Amino acid sequence: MKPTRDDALVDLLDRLLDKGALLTVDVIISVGGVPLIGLSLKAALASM
Amino acid sequence: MVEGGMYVYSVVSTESDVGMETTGIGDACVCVLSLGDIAAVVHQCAPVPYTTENEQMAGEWVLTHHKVIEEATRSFGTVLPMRFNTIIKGDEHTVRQWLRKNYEMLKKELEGVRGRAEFGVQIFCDESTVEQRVLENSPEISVLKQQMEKMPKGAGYLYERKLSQHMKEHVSQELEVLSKGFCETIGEHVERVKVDENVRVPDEYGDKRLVVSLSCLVHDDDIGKLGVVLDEIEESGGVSVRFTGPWAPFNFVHLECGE
Repeated sequence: MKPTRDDALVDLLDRLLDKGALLTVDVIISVGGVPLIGLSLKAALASM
Repeated sequence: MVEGGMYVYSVVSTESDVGMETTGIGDACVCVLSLGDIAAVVHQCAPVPYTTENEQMAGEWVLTHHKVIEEATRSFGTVLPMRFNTIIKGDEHTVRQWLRKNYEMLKKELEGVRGRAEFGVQIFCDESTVEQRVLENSPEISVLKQQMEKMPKGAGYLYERKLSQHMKEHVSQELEVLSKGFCETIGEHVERVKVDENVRVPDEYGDKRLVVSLSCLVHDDDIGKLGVVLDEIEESGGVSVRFTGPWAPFNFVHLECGE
């Protein structure tokens, strides 16, 4: 079988919001976003 | 005093100061800040995280973040993708300083993912298929089932509860065995494999049991081979395989940056 990215928004969400490089430096002022954003982003994408 | 912020999408390998013709979150102008042969794909922003209660806007932001990572991958090869809302406090100079201080580590991570991409593999099964397997392999449950069937109507209530409890435990054990087996088989054909925890699945798989969800780092030359292995797993019966990608290596980049 071949990999597909159709209908893969859920996968995108898992990766962009919960994974991806996390920087551990003082110059970083925000990582991963505010819970409110996370929630609304998930809801928005779930309904797309 | 530093007042601005730089939103970072990814770190890339580049031999020159090639630009990117794309817009970022909120139509921001995306630029590539290089330091030698590595660069950060960024846009200038306020030094605060992006927040909104507007779901449509939030969705667009996430898709734009992904779009910029995809375009950087097309321009520069596999990138080190940053998580949504990663903002460095400072300006272009701060970003270049950060690249310089962490050059060795960033370079090593970039080398580790060069010519590779991340793929998702999710294996689902029907609950009834697993129950059938449990019945075939567990004499204890078969005996309980036979005893219950011989009982008069109503009298088998306690047995039914016992049977259901046993079945639940055995199904869960069976899924663990299956999961371990799939993980080992797939692990032999990819460079790195990671079991995903608390993963979301598409609605169409809602009535199935997720046996295992894996993120795999796969060399470009091995994607076909992995596809064949997944075909074999699906043909072995009772499971559906969902194969997604290619993705930027979100699950395989670990940056321990100093200031």
